Amino acid sequence: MAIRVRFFAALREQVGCDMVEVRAPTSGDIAGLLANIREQLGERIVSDLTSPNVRIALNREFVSSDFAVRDGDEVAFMPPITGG
Amino acid sequence: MMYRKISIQSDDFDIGREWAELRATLGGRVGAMAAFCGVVRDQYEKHSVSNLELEHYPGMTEKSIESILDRARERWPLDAIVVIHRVGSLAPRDQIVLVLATSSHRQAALDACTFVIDLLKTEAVFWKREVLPSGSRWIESTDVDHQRSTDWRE
Repeated sequence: MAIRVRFFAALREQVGCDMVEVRAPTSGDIAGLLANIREQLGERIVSDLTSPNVRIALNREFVSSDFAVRDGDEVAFMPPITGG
Repeated sequence: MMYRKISIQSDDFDIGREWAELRATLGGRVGAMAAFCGVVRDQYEKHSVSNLELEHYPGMTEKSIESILDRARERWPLDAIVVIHRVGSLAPRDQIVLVLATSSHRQAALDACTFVIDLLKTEAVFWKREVLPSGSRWIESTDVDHQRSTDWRE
């Protein structure tokens, strides 16, 4: 399955791109997807993505890392937000 | 049905026009219109700021604001809420955000306006980078912002 993974703000700068398509052999949760991200982007990126202040969105809804992902989903990793 | 308008835009907004447009939608029972407009400061934690760059996540940012407005409507008898939030590159004195709320009475309109801007600080999906003479850095919401947001839960 193919998952579109997006990075924003400081994370985008750390990763060096705003989006990657991650190919995962089997279905699983977002925590499992990190193993595929590690293969494609390296360990350093995964440690940035698993920082406690990073929030995750699945198809534009906040979720925790135990949410299942399916082919075609969009997962976003987001550093602390602030509007207003 | 509460009238609502959410706009994420790089263009500036005209408060007078937004105010007039909202006023044109009012039912006869509305007795109060409240407004808040945020403006870019030229100082942030004692640094001089030459520019502010705002980034958002199209689709998700709107949802995050919808969720704030849903909660405002549950708390107060509101007739309308307008939120306009700018993105892109902004300079000191530029308008950054507008919140308008209308209700039958002033307290609901004023409180809803405060509630919405307080929650925009901690729950709306935006990222701000301040450009300083010495470089740039990402801004996070402050402890005060989080406290104000938390206070509304009590």
